[in-house]
Amino acid sequence: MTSASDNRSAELVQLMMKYQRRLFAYIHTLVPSRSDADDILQETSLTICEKFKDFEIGTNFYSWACQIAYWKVRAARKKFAMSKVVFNQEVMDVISQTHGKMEEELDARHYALSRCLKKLNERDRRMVLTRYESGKNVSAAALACGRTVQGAYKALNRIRKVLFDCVTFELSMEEAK
Amino acid sequence: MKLSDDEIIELHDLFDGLVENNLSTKQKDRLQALLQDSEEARHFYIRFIDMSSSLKYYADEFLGDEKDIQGVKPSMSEKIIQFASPFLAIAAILTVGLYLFHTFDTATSTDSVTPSSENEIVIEFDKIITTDDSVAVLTKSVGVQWSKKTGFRPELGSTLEPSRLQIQKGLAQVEFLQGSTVILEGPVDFKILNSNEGVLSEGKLRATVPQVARGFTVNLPKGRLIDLGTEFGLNVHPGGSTEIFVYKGNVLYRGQTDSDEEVTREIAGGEALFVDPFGFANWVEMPSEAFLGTADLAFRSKEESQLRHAAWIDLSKELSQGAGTTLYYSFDNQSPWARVLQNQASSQQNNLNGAIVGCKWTEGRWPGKGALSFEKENDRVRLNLHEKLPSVTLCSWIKIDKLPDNLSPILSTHQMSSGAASWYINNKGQVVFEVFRGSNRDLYKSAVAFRKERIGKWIHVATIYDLGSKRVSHYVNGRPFSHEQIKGNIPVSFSNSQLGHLSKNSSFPENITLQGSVDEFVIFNTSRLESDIRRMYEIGCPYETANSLGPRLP
Repeated sequence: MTSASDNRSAELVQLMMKYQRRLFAYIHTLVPSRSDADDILQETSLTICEKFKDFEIGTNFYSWACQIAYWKVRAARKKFAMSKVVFNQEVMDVISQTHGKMEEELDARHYALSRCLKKLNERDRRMVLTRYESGKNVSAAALACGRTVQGAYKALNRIRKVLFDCVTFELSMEEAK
Repeated sequence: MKLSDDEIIELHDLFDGLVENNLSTKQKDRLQALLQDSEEARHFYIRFIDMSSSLKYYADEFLGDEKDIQGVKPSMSEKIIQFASPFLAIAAILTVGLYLFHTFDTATSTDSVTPSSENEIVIEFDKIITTDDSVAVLTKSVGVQWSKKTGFRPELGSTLEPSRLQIQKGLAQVEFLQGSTVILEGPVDFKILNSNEGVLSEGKLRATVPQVARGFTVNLPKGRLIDLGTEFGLNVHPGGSTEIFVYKGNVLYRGQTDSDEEVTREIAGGEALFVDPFGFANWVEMPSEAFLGTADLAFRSKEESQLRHAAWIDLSKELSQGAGTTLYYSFDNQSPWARVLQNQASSQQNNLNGAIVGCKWTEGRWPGKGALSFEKENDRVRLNLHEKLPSVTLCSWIKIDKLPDNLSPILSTHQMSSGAASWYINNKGQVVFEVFRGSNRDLYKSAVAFRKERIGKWIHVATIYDLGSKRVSHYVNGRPFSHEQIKGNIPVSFSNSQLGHLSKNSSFPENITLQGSVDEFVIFNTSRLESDIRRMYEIGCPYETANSLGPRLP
């Protein structure tokens, strides 16, 4: 037996599944620390669940969720001062506005990145993915790849540059087609 | 504003430092200014940080796939939880309950990754631009609390560019790239200037300088200390006076008094100098105790703690794979936002995963190990173990912050049917195992185990209920505490149970939450030997057990 509230919950979960990564990415641009961004995503998710009854199905869920996230980041600024948010309010606002204009490009970059990751050599790929795995840090990446912590920092700096350039190149090739 | 090539390179390095939390305040200000003034800089920034988010996503996906290959096969629902835990867990709690995790298994397919092309491109590794502004590494820390005044709080293992370390409390070891090592003890304010020089404005510092780093310099309020290959300690008091202790070798102090007199002293091993707030220097006696000797002790105890943690990880694997393990919550390797407590018992299905309600993740017995903290009225972990058990062994590591007037629940059941069992510490500090038998509640109580000295400490509690031997036994910190004869002949069950919480019932008129933390919980469907309980305690104990072989009352 399926009740109306169950259907609503299913819609909520599907929307969340679809947009979670993009919403995290949006928060992350405003809050550069990954763990702080995770915390704010958690708080945002809670508010989304609480307010979902007010959301009109068929309208833009991602925009609605980003607005909630934006206010959560602002609240975090007041609550935690510099520990959770690096930028001042003015800079945060212009970043948020610029982000709104880049959605399509960022989606394309996300998919291009998966191709670029496959082009890295095995050791570099393991290093960068271990670094970004949930709960892992540079020390864990260093350990996984048999490098010193110092060496791992340098390698990650290099790998990120390579990936960034590779993604830009991939997109330019797509545009040229 | 159009960015120059140099600015683009600078931006990349600033972004890199930002994601690794390595930026000095000056660099953060510079980044902020660039982002404020340039739309192009913001585009670069958003692309870069978005790449970080995508890397996090792919890390879980790629490495998750590798784990599948290696035989650790998470179920589909686990994968969903892994990717979408914040949303799903909250949705589960707020809306429809734990079943959501099992109902929407197919939802992940909506956001799958576009298949990648196999066209090769050449990544020019030769043209890699690397930066090397790092001058030191934060290599050890014990109980560090950063000053509230500072936004720069590097993590352990972080490389450090010229920056200011303001520590309120605790010990931190910084290794300079040129070879010197300094231990800072909070409250301390220390600036790293380059790979062989710093400024101590306030607090204690101990330096070990090998020959290769000869010339290591510490600037002080009234002068500077130049090392000539040695080991020394410094203490700068809030008023600006400074004590200098030299343990080995020689150092050179050069300063200036307020009346512009130059002060130069060469200080040899075993000598100490006091520089007053006006810059005048006086010889003083060396302190009898090693300066910052506690640092060595603290770092050693940390290493000991890491070894203990490693030994526990092996035990934890053994427990999860044991045939008699029905339910095992290790509380380890869970995301800080996880709202599902994974049952690690390999013989069991995921339906024994717990649903975390309210509780917060906190640090467990060792740095880096998780535990759940219970505090508020509704904090609990819901679980459902239907199995009726003629013999059962319950073990848990718990930390009780305060004993309330009523009781401290570890595990309680909602049911009031025959065999329904609960496990708690009563207000006298006794471990109690309670079993419903018809309309009776049989209470099996230990002697008083939780006195003041056990409050706020990790304690191992175990209880065995065994119909075979008709006996209930309680253990605290690995030692038998009491044995009682079982009344009746009823197998116990934990249907509809809660960890760390007891819902009001006919005996208790209000909801009760454990005021403390749990960092390991296991249920065996057998009666375990006393030696097993002792071993679980000894290996899992976060600190050294005194007289571990001799008989000792807990």
